[in-house]
Amino acid sequence: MKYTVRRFQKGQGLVEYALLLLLIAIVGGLALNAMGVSIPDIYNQVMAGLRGEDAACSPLARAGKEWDAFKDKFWRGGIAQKDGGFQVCPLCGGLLPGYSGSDYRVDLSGVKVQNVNPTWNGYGVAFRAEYGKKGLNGYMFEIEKVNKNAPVQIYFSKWVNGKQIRPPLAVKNLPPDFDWNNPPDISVKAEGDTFIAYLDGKEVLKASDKTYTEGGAGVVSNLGTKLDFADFAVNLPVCEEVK
Amino acid sequence: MALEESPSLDLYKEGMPARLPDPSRKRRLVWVLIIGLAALSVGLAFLNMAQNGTLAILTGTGSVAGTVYDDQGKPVAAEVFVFGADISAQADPSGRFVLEGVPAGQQVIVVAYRNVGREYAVQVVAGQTVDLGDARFQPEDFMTGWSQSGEGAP
Repeated sequence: MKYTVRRFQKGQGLVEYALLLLLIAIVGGLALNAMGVSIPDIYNQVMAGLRGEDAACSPLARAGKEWDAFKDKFWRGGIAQKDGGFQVCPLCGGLLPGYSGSDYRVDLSGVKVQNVNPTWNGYGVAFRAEYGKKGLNGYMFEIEKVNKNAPVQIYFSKWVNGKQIRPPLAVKNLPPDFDWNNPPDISVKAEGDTFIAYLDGKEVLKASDKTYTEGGAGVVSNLGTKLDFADFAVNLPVCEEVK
Repeated sequence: MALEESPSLDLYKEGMPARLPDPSRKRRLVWVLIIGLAALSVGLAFLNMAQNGTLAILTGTGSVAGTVYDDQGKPVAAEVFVFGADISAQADPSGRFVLEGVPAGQQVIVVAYRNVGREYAVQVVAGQTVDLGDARFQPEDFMTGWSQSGEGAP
């Protein structure tokens, strides 16, 4: 009898410690969630750190054969591999499959555009985005030229259920040191509720919004433009900007 | 008491100590920690529910009504929905809409037409209808390539 009680007490102690560890994990997870910290991001950063400094700046996700294509009654299709790079048809776009994060930088490089119509030319990147049954939800940074007489504008916008929310989060004309006919590479850094856009490595626009805290990344082309690009990658925001 | 928790004989070599060790002290401390962490996790769960809007569902629902006009000032049968909730409505040809079953509290209503939307923050009161007023699109709302394709495009 005494032996049975002692065994029971030892077992109960283990249960208590297990309960304690479980509660610590739950409290930690809930606290991080309440502070808006993404656990997958922490995991990515820790894993990148363990791989060493050089490896830490290797992309978290990169353009490949597969894309999650935008295709519905509004979008016309996704992104295809072409001539060692990628091509986005007019009013097409796609997200990198299987990637979602909170704080990261997207880099679109080796950009070439063919303006297939005289109006509604432009291209951009989507970030903290997801594409589902209701359409696109997330953010976009774009370079857009409405028609040949209009100024080229750069802007951040929010998308909800496939609708672009107006007015944009931030908008301005393309700075004079950039040439629309020699389209610049785009980098966008999302950290917390702040987004910063870079063209050819130079900061050009900043915006702030708290609606979406995480999501995937992708590339889009406007109604009048066929976009070719060499590479698209998602990197840790601390890593050096693409020049 | 488990054998491992029995006091050492060293404690008694100078006679009976003034205060005997309490073998259950450690276990009590563990339980205090467990109860404290459980209370903290319940509090944090409520905070998370308040942040993601789940708590609002428990506080009742109300309605939001209004009228939508396009950039020419004409009423339009726009799509209207509540951000982050599966609640939507279609305005009638006179632009009038009523969204029902909207969780009480601060909500963002999106009025969408020709692939662009405008957001309106409203305070929904349980059991009441909040009047959003007139939701008017502006000409510059449609100065974007995204509004030139798909449903409702010119």
